[in-house]
Amino acid sequence: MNGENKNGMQCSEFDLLLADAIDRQLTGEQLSRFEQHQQSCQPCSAMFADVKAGVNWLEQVEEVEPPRHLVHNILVATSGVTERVAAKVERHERQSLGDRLREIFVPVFAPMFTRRFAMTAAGAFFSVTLALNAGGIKLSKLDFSPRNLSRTYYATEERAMKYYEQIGLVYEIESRVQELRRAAGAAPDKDDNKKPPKKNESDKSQENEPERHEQNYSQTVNELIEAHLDDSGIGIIARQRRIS
Amino acid sequence: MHGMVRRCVAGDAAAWEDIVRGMNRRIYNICYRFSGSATDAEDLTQEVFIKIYRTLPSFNQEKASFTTWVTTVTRNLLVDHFRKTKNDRATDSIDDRGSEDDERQALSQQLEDQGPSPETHMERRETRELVHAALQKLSPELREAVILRDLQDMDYREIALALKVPEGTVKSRINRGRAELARLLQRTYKQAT
Repeated sequence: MNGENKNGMQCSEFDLLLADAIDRQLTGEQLSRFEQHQQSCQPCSAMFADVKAGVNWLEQVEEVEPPRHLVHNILVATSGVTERVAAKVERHERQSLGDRLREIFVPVFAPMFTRRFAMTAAGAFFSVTLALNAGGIKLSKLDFSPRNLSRTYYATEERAMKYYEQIGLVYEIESRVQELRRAAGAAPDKDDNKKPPKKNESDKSQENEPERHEQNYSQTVNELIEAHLDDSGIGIIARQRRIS
Repeated sequence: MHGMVRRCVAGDAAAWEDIVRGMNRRIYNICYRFSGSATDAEDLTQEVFIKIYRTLPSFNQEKASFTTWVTTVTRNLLVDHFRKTKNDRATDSIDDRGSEDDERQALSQQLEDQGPSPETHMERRETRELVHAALQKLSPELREAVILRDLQDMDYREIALALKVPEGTVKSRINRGRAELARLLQRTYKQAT
């Protein structure tokens, strides 16, 4: 700017007051003279416009956030605070409660988030469910007080024992029936209604020795089956046993 | 702050940590706006604090406030860094940042559009980047004055103490810096249209 004197103010004075004018610190006569010089002096007017525009541009610039590790690095480089302590302090200050909990529990429960563990857990869950259904236990109806839990346990145990015993009883009955069938098959004397009148000696010998019949299970028996009709017309099957 | 400084000089590590936490953002922003690079700003900020840590016993609160003293240390380091890296810097930092046409277009859009826009957020971001780039084109003397006044809100007296120049010189540099910045950005706009 040149040293022109317009409206009682030189350009150099205008330049000195420019910063205060931008900051709105000028008042009274000083402000009036400043404005008059601005209106009459083209270079000073352009300078004022440029400075105002520059201020407007700079107002749009915001503070930037420093890197998160900056404080930690500074502390390590200066006071020699250990990395773990400084980082821990900074982490705690910047982290939310969720982040801190996650830091504590994730390493502990990390193995549980593998596929293998998930499959094993699912298999165990289904097994337990099936066992509970088989035992007649319904979780929705369970009362989890200690007294009722022990009562439920003993009731379940009793049912299981009964079931087991019933299964044994069934097996026993079946085996008895098989024995009886074998016995019925091995002893033809027992079937009296169907026996023909005794006509030969071999029949008599068989009648007299019913016990021997029962004892001959293990022996191979060749039976000759002889059929004939009695007087009533009923077919009678006579078995002649020949023990070999 | 002076109490913390006294405790820190006495060997209180917690006091030093408080100082670092309280001042790091401000110093980082000064370094970032002056150097133009986030990486350089981080390195420079650490150097500033190392310097402060070593020279803390020499701080005299009667001469200047702690903030002014820290700013002086920062500014001196920035000037040293600027001199050392003078030959490494590109002459035109705006051209290196990508398509010039894109920047001009964003600027022209920003200037033409007077009303609210769906892309306001993006345009503001682009505007900030343009202003940041234009700052790097100012001379170091004008740049530091503008940064300390318009971005760090320091008063003229503190800036004068930090830069070791008269207050009148500070005001003159600030105005020239603002005007130069506006001309750079307006030139970009005119070239775009």
